[in-house]
Amino acid sequence: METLTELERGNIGPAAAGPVLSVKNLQVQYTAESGNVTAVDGVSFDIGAGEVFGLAGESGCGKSTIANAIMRLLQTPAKITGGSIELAGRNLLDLGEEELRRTRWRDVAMVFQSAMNSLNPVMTIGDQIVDVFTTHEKMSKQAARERAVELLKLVDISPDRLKSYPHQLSGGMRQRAVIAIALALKPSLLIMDEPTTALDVVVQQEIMHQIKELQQQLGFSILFITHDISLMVELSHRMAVMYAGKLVEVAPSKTMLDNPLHPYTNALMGAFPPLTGPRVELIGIPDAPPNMAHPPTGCRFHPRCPLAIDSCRTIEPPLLPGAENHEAACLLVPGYVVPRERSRR
Amino acid sequence: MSPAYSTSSLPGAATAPLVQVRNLSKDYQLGSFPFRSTVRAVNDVSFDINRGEIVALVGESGSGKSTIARILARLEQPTGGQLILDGQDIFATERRRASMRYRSKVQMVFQDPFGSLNPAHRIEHFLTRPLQLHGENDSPRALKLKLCELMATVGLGEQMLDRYPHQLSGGQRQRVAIARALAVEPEIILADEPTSMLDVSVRIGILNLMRKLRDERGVSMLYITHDLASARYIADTTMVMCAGDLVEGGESIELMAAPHHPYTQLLLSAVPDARRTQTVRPPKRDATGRNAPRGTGERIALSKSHWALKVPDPAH
Repeated sequence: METLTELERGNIGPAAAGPVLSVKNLQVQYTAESGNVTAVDGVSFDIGAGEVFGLAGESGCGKSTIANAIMRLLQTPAKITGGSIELAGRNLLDLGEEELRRTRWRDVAMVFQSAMNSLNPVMTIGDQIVDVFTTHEKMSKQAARERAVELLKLVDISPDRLKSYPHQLSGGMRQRAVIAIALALKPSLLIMDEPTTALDVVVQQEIMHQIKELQQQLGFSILFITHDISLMVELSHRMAVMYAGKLVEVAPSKTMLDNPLHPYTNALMGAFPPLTGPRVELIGIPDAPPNMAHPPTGCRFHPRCPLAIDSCRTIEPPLLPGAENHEAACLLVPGYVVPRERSRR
Repeated sequence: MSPAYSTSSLPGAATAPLVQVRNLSKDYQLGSFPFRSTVRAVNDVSFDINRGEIVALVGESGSGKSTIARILARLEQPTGGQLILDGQDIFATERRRASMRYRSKVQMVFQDPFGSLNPAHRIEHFLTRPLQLHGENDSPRALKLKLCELMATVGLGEQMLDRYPHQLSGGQRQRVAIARALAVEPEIILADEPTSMLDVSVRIGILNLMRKLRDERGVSMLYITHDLASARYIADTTMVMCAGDLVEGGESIELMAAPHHPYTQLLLSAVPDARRTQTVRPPKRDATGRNAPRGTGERIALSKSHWALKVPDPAH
């Protein structure tokens, strides 16, 4: 029998050499009586095989909407109005219901923020794992049970917990069980939407450590969503910062930490008090994120930006390379030149 | 960022501490006969809070930190121990009638700013009520003036008095909750995880506000949190709680630079820190004293303003 440890790195069909996930110009709108709100506006990024890609930003910036769009979980009033989401070369937006059902969980799985809400309270952990196998694969219950034991071992849960109900497990154990279920079909991409926000700091560290080990062992890619930049830098290889529906900066995590180019990234990093060094007064980010029904003209961050100049009010800066492997959307980045056709528009 | 009000380290600052907690314990009964069992949520806890001092109480969920806040807010009766406020032994002398006076000195700010504000009332109501209950009978004009003052103190415009809670952002709601606590001019505010439900970008604003209130009005605060970095940021003194025990306490910066108790070390190592160079493996739980037998409760003084509980000998 195939075991999870044999999972081949990034073996996801013909396009294995290219990115696992390629999001291009994604646009998601929420329809409201008062008008449409564009929650995700022209977002593009790639995630390579075995890469951990982080997506950071404040609540309401659209990061969870992207996750739900990739899983094709968006429901009215939300609608994908443009762009493409390619998973291993296949555009997920073209798939029908049945194809989608087969793709979900097998190729891309998701771990949600609250483990308690993503587990069925009236089914044992074991039954819920077996459910995944029998739904997606022709497999006997017995074989599925054996696989379930292996999966739980993978996340350090003792096999006798198969008979436990979710409420009998601690918060950390529940989240580990959710991760095990997400990995059951060996997806090439795992989406994690704030997987540790509801957990205590010590448990959070244990889970993060475990995710890191599993990722290195199994080689899947991760789209990791959080508002905690420190946590993100520890786990992800590359990260993007999102503001008001747009990506404002994309760079390798260490580069982003050492040399953030966008003022918003800088402000977001400055919103966390340090654990070492002298006590310095932090200012956070003044005001609140914009109302997305009427986003500001020009750069969307300009009303809160301490460095904003006049042009920021009128020119909407696209994401452009500011340094090697480092893109930012800010007029103030040295050497940043807005392409002519863009600035005229 | 030096506080205008003195903290414990300044000589001759205050005569006696504002709050003295002595050997406080709280047991909860679980189950019913014959399966009754007892859980000790707070075990023999003693500490002081000086006038104008911000004390942080940190620990994981279930460590008993919120139970202490609830006892201090008199929402919970302790199993044993003393609570001395302004030199008065509260549980020994005060009766229910006097709790009004107590609450005019001790106010609370809760974690969930939406749950703590009645959605059916305007902001004005939340601030008027404590003033009417506790204050003198102000004329409508004087009352209005006080309300505007309160709103200005917490950084909100007076036009917000007419709004309902749902029309405010989380940060604004929490500011209203703080204004409500301030309305009766308390001597101490108990803030139980006031920022944990707020967005990252507004957390610092609330912390800065708490600091400002201390600096300008001399209000003491007990800041309960699981976020060590924020405790280091605003609190003069930090105390660490583990499974009902107060295991370490001291000047915040000093304590976090040189944590002594294994549990404090565990907590600190678990805080994600992008600047940390080496990866920290999570230590095994049992090695941290969390599941170890309770010690004698003996405190070791590490410096004038830093102590830790003696770690039980692992041989036992």
